[in-house]
Amino acid sequence: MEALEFEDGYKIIEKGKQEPYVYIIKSGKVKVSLGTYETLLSEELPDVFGLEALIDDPYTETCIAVGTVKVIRCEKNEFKDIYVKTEVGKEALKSFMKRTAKALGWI
Amino acid sequence: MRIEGVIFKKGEIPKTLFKIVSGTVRETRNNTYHDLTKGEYVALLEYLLGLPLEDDIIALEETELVETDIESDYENIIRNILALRKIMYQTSVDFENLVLDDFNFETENIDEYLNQIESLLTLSGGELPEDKEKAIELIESLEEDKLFTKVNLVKKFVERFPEEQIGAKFLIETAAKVYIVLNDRYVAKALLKKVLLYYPHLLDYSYEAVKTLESIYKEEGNIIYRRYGKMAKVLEVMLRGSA
Repeated sequence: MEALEFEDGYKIIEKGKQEPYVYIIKSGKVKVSLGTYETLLSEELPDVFGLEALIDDPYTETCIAVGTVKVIRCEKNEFKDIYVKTEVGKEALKSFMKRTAKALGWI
Repeated sequence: MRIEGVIFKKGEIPKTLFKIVSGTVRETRNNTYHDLTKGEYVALLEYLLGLPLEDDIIALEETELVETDIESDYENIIRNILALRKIMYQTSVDFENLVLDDFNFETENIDEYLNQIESLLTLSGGELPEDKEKAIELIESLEEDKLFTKVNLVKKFVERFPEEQIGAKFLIETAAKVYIVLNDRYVAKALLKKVLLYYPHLLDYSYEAVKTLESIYKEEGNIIYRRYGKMAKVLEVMLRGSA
């Protein structure tokens, strides 16, 4: 698990690529593109992206730093062990579902 | 638990997360249903986001459900959500260009195709009254023995009154009759494609047209049925979310 900082415009994860990392936003904003749907994630929840890594699937969304962004990058097992049973884990799943529902036009 | 019938009622916010062990559960949104089976979760969206259900959720047959929670099923829930995303990507059709680019008129140029239909349909006579209500009355009064006249009048109706939703209904009903009574796939398909050309904003009629096109192409052994199947999936997903 490590703390990373990205500059504005940096592509943190890219749809179709498979990596073993889940990201938790500590400060700043991240633009998420899922199909034609776009949204901004921030540290408020705090928000998480890259959950696909937990099941060894390629990322299904592209996430780009908006301004300077600080994140915690976890290996999938670290996220499972530390966060899944916490509010961060629950909110991550809700946010993941919400983005999907928005992209599908359900909500 | 084993259950048959209503699991959650319309307006209810699901407080329990059920996973399907066996059986079939039907979720309905905007009069369009989606059947869930083994390994899927009942009302996952509404449970996670705390949203009220738009309609009853029903076990269609004796169904075994097991109560679970987010922590226990974390990874499997992600798989289920990703399955939804995959449907979206697999059926990704550029909706801005859906009408022109994705209806697949085989090798024919769309204008040539429509001109052929035009020629075919003008073989049948029949004048459409200028008055909309009288036109509707006339079309509705025509029986099966005047099917081609009906086809011709319906075609004229949708061109003259493109904003009238009943035109989509006429096209679908007439296409079905042409297919059943005359077994004319060519005209039936043309009428159904007109629904998509004239009424792409009416998702329910477009869905019905696409599903029928899928059936017709499948029956004639044309692989294009798969394309319409994909389009139907997209429309179904849109209908589920547009209540």
